[in-house]
Amino acid sequence: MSKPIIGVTPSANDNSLGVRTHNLAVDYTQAIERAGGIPVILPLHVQDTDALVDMLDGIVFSGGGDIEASLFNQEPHETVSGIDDERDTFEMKMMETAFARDMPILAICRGVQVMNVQQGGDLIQDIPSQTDSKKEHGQRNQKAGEHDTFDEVEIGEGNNPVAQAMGAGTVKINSFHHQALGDVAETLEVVAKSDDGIIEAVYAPKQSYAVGTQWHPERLAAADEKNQSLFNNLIAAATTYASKK
Amino acid sequence: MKPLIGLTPTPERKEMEHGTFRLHTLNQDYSQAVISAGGIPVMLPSNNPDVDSLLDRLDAVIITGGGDIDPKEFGQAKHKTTDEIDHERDAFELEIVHAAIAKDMPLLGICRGLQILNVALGGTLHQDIADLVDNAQQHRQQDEKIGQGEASQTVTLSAGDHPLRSLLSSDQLEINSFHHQSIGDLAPDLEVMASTGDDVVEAVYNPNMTFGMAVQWHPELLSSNHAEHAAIFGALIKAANAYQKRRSNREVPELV
Repeated sequence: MSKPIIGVTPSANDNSLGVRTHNLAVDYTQAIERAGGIPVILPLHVQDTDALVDMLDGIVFSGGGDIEASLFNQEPHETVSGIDDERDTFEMKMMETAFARDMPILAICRGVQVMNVQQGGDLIQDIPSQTDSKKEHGQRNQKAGEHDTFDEVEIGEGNNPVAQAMGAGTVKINSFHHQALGDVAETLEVVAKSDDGIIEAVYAPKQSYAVGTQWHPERLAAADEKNQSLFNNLIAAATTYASKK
Repeated sequence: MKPLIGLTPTPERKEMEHGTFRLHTLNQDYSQAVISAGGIPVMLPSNNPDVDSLLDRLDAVIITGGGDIDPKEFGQAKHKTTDEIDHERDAFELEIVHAAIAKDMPLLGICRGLQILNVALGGTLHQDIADLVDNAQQHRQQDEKIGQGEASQTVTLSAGDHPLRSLLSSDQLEINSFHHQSIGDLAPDLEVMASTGDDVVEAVYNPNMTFGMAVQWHPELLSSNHAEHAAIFGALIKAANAYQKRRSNREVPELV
């Protein structure tokens, strides 16, 4: 059986010459490659998303800037930054199509926020000013390294794909966000929280494999088998999906 | 089905908001040129060692511009100006060339991509045109503050029939230019399609492939305003469509 091909959404910004440039940290594609998948990066300006999804066996929605607040019917908070309308539009369409086709999804940081918004939920636009949490969710503010763990989450018991990959109970994670899930979409179920109540992982029970984490497993996966397992199980689900196409 | 076109990105270490990361980056003019020609672009991270499985999923590849190739790959010591060497990218792109030739998959090389094609097939490079080519023209328009989307040089097509001639109505073509290295010894399997007045090789093709060509300039920066540069991407997509048909004919299982 051939290896499954996994698309990953990049970030985009203007380079030093003012040219819009797509970019993605190698941690994502290395985690996919270690799991036995073939990673490709998806330019955000492809309009024919149906044709693009036809080519893929699974998709990873990566981290990045904030989502335009009007997509979940809110006014933007003053701390909102990094809005990219083209990326919002592309990822919302790709998420909708992936759900419709039951294509396996791993949604990371901004990705889990896109998943919740596309499925009808909303976001807390700024954790420090809009919740009672006194906890730091941006580990760079505390000088923690980009590949270090920083926080712990509690993963719920039961037959959910995050517990299957990482085990239920307390696991060490990293943290690089100022926004979080607010109202959770009806199609999603919360499976991990931080001890301040911030949602850290969800999945879609009716999908074969649709998992979202607020942390960045790809930055821990090289050194930690639990975080790598989220990618291994994505590849297993993508292999099954490919065999049914 | 639209053909799927793989583009090799440039790896770079960059300080980001959340730390310092190695990134794969690609200027969107490349993917826009593919979209405009009717293909679907994806970027190919160079950390994938299984190039054969990767190419099995694609209909064509574009090897893009970037830093210099390690001169060890063509048996030379490093010139003092040779810069931005990335061994992972070198190995990945050299293997793509060999795998594409083995599959007769359409291949387009751009700037560094032309140099990779030549080195993969046994050619060498001039590591610094200004130092090593007699009476060289200026091949770095960025040093003259000429914009990326503007032409700065004229190339003359080689005599006879070749793929570039079939795309153009004239013997000459206005191009842009952003390189300090160029083809030295031409690989035995390649033929020159165009050069500048100082005999710097500007376009080559491999007659053994159905579609295997490379240009030293950046047609993706000119293609939105210049039909003759868009035609290069049009020809690639046409070849990718034909390849997709050949490939799907091969993959149809025999009925028993």
